[in-house]
Amino acid sequence: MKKICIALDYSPSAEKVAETGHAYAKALGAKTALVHVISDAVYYAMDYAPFMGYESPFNSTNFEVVEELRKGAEKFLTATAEHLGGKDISTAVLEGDTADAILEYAVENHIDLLVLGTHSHSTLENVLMGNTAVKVVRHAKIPLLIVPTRK
Amino acid sequence: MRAAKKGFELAHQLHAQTALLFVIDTSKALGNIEAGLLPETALLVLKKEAQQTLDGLAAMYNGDAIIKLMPEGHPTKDITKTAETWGADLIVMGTHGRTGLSHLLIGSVATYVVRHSKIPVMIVPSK
Repeated sequence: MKKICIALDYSPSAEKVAETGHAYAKALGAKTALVHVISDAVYYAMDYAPFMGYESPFNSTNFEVVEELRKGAEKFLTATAEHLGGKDISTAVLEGDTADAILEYAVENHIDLLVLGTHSHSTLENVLMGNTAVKVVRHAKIPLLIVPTRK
Repeated sequence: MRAAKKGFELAHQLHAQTALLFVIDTSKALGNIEAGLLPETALLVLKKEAQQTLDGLAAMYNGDAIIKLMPEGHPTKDITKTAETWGADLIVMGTHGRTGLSHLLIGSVATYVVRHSKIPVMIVPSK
């Protein structure tokens, strides 16, 4: 194992996922890549005429909003890298569908192990919405380390 | 097989103790009365197969000190339960890589384990 990619979201459980993944990376002498996925700009866009004098700042031509999201994500990953405090930690903000973006990143960067957390254990939620970890499990061609974050 | 290989490699690198786990699916031990095969006999056959599989894997990776766990029960629930009872830090398992409709209908053991395990799970895809 040379490269371990840890996928993080903004939930507090990300700390456990990051620390577990990094511990494995250190023990295996692998490099760590931290990634966070933001949705495609279109996802945030609300294109409609102003109503009641309200105009949404989120529209598909407002790239500043997306840029802010990206900057926020970069800050988050940098802070995480500092928290882990190891060398050989790279960061990347990805865009698109969470599972697809992670899988694509793993292929392009020759990742040997993908680390991600699960935080929804509600059966109904899983049935209705699916869940990123499960989608990645079904489609990944490389080993995955799934870190449960339920207490 | 790939899961076992990967698991052994990892355990070696991490200096961890290894246990091989094979759940004997009791729902398969139905027997065939007409053929004179009793459910008890069928269960014995399954146990023997499980033992042979684990012995074979242990021999392949030269693990004398390898612990073999063969609980009888349900493949999904007894993976997490046995791993927790043994005090495992990590579960390593494969997937059969079912996709599409069969996934929706059958679900998969890996999916269950990922959703219910209290300890980290490493999934090794079959391809």
